[in-house]
Amino acid sequence: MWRMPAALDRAGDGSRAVPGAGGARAAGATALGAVTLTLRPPRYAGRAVERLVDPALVRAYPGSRVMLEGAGPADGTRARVDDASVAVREAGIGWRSEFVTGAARALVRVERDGGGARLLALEPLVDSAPMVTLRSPARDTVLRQPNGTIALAADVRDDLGLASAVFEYIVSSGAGERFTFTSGTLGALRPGSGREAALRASLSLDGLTLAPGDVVHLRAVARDQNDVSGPGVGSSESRTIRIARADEYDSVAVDQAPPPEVDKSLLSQRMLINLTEALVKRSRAVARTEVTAESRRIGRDQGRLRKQVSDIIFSRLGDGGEGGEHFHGDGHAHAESDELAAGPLTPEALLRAAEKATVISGSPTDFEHDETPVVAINRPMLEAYNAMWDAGRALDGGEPARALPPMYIALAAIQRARAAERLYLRGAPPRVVVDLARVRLQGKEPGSPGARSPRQPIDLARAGVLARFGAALDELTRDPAAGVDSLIVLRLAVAERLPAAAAALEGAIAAVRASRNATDALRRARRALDDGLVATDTLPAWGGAR
Amino acid sequence: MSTFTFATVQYESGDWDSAPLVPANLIDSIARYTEIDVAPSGVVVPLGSEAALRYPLLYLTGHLPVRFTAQEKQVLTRFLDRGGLLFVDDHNHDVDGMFHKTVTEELEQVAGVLRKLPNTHPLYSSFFRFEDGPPNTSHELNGWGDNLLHPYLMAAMRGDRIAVLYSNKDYSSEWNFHPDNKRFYSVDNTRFGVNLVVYALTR
Repeated sequence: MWRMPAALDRAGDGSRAVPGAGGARAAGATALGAVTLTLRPPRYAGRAVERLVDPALVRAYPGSRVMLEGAGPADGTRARVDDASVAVREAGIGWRSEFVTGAARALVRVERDGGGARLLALEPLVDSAPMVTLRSPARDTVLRQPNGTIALAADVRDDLGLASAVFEYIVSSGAGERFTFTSGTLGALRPGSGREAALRASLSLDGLTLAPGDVVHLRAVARDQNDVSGPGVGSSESRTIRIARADEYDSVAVDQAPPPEVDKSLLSQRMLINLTEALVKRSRAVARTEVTAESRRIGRDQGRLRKQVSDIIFSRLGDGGEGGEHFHGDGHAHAESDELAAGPLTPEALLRAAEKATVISGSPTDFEHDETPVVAINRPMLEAYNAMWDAGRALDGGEPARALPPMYIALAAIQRARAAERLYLRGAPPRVVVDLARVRLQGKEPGSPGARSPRQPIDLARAGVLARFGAALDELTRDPAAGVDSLIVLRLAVAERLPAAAAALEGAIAAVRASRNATDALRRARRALDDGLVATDTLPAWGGAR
Repeated sequence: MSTFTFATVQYESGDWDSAPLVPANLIDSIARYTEIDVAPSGVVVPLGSEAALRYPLLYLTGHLPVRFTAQEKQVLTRFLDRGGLLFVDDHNHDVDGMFHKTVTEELEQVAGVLRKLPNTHPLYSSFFRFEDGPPNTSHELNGWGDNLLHPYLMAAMRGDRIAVLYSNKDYSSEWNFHPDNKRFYSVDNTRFGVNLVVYALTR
């Protein structure tokens, strides 16, 4: 974008107009007078020299030589191109200043002290790159044998003048991760071709020693004569010539090919149509009962064919999900309510699935955009199944004329399926669907905790001991002898794990037996039983093998 | 916020589909390390189609010569002007290879001169931090292709934003494996891909 030069933008914000142009002349000063501009375009432009007097706007190719001249002294006369000063010299009876235009817009200001000023806008002309159209070969080609000669033809055009034009070729050899390349050029423009030319050459494939699998990439390239800001380079679209590999028809990476089944369906459907059309033609000449009987016979054949189509569809998408890759719209069930997930379908269920798969928002299926080949193949088959169902009903009802339209639809759908089988979408890469939830460690657990009960404050063994101690105390109040027995048994049980408790119990037993106050001893025993775990120095004796 | 979908560019010349597992691998990494809402599978989008304008990041690779059609150039120009980021990786890993020679020529016609991207650029710290610039690939370290370790990536800028990022490092080979096999790596070599996506979505 052009900006006002700082020297002229005195307001500093680019908003103020330039003062002084044509301004008042100081008393005694020499007026600037008329400014004559001589424009000498660069050689590549091929234009004549122009002379202009006091121009306000000049359009020039980059590299043009501009000469400004005027009357009066050079001393005190200044010239600027944007912010850059340009020398002003004496020339004859006046002054002269010269500069070369660039590729950007510029503002030229000529002024004289007290003598006024002139402004001149310079607008660059654009030198377009050559336009190149490759006429031959007209399209990409696959050749069985790497021999012969290919005629090359291209039209080249430039707005000013062509300098050169050639055909470029690149031969790429190899596969997988190993490729080698050779390149070269062919043909040449005749000298003095001007602005338009026809480029011709021939490419000998024998000379390139091509091997099966090699690809020749061809294009035409032209350069213009711009030696200032160029040269401008133009090129045609590329064409490729590939040498077929002997095994390439075996290496096409498609699913195991059902084409024979589809071909069989296609033939049968066409025959059914022929039979129905013949029946419709002669229906006026024969009895109604005969028409109905023949129509039902065709209807039975139509039903068998529909069964074949449904088998093909089942074999592809009614498989219960083997293979693991599912795509939106491929017929695989992604919801439990989807009928296709429930295993083998009744004809009615399959028909509903066909309706669902073949009609989107009430409009026929479109097999473009980002659909996978699986969808591209299955949807037409589902559509064919749907149409065959309609045709069969009409035939069974003895109305062959009504059956024909859906039969045509079925035939067209099968043809589309067949085309989808044949056309392996080169470059449809293996589609890996990332299980985002698994990657993000988001399992099926919804994250809500189950009900939990509070933990026991002490271990169960200790709780049992305390319960037994409590029971022994109760026993002491009712039957002191029985209570003492309970304490003795308890002491024995805790002697090894809780020796302090055992000692306290021993004291309590002795006190009860001596009819002394056993309260302190029993209190110590409770504390000891309720205390933390006691570590022992030795492992307990192993008694499992007595 | 809309879902990010990884898009691989389909161009008319060359073998654009030479690294088919890269999208899944990077999608896996994005899911693994970030909370970006990402589509579980990538898409293939023709460069000559306006559909390319729907995606913020386009991935382009191949081994063979690249010559954009006029339509492809037009769409790519619009894509870059609208703020898209095109990531181009030389699957040949060979500066003498025709992919490098042709695609850089084509890119410079559309996007301007490719210059070295400083290894301190925010791209290298947009998510993971790569102190030494672009991580090397096993293909470089094993001396395949041009037998060079490329210390820089190249870029064509739009202002201070990367419009085209060009790599000679052969990330297409480095990342072209099924994401389930990532568990065999002590250090995930696709982490730089996360930086790339995060940069494309945030700058």
